[in-house]
Amino acid sequence: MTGPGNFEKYLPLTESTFYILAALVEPMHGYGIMQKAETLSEGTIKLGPGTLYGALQMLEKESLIVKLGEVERRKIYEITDKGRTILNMQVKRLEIMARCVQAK
Amino acid sequence: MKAVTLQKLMWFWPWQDQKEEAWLEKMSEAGWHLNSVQLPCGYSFVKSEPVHYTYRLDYTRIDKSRRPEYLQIFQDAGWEYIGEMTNWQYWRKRVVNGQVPEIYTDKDSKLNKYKRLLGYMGFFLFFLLFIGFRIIYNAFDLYLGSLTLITAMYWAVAIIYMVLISIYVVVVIMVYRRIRQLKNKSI
Repeated sequence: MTGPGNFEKYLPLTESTFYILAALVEPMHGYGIMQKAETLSEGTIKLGPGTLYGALQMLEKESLIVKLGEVERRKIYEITDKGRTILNMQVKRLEIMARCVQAK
Repeated sequence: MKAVTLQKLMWFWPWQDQKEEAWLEKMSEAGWHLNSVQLPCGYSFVKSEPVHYTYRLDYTRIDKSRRPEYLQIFQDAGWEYIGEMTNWQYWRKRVVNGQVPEIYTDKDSKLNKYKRLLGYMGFFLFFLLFIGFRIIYNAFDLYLGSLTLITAMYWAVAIIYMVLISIYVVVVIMVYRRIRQLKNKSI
């Protein structure tokens, strides 16, 4: 039931979701994610709070991330094993895409 | 010194959120800053220096337990919360160096906002139709009995109700069209 086959439905991740998951390889709160996503994406992604909030709800509901606790009203999240698997699947796809162009 | 305030009544249809945002921005540029919103369609402004704000309306139903997190994420991103009217959340942020800030930064999440709105309205429409059928069914039932003042009044209510439902259906269709338009264009 939980094989990678069932994870295909999450792919492709949107750019926003991709960077949120990438940021959450370490525990972080919402604002931290916004800043980290901007850094990780070399400034190509700026996450609006509405986009971030909606994505966090969805990712938590689908158990791609988990809530660890709360610090000063800010919820701390971290990626789950399922989230990591999906993130890696996405990276593999992106590598294939990049390779097919670079080879030419 | 007592603050100078201004109360305004304005009607915007649910698919006109961008028009409403533009109106609020204009008000702020004239020095009237939105202070609170009240049902039905009431806006309260406070006078001070003109500021170039971007106003953004979010549509979301948030239960009490999730509310602090929702507010915190927006506030951390520099947005100022003004209030809520029928699940519409009113936000604003200063425009710095001509950079217009956005609460939704991709197409999917922006679409989701309107999908939530459509879902909620569709759900409500279902109830309205259900009650509507009952009213019309009863009206026929009464009519088949005898025509009295009571039946006439009942029919009047039924007709008004049908008109209101028709308007509501048009509103739902307009929101649906808004989603279609968004889907066809980039953010």
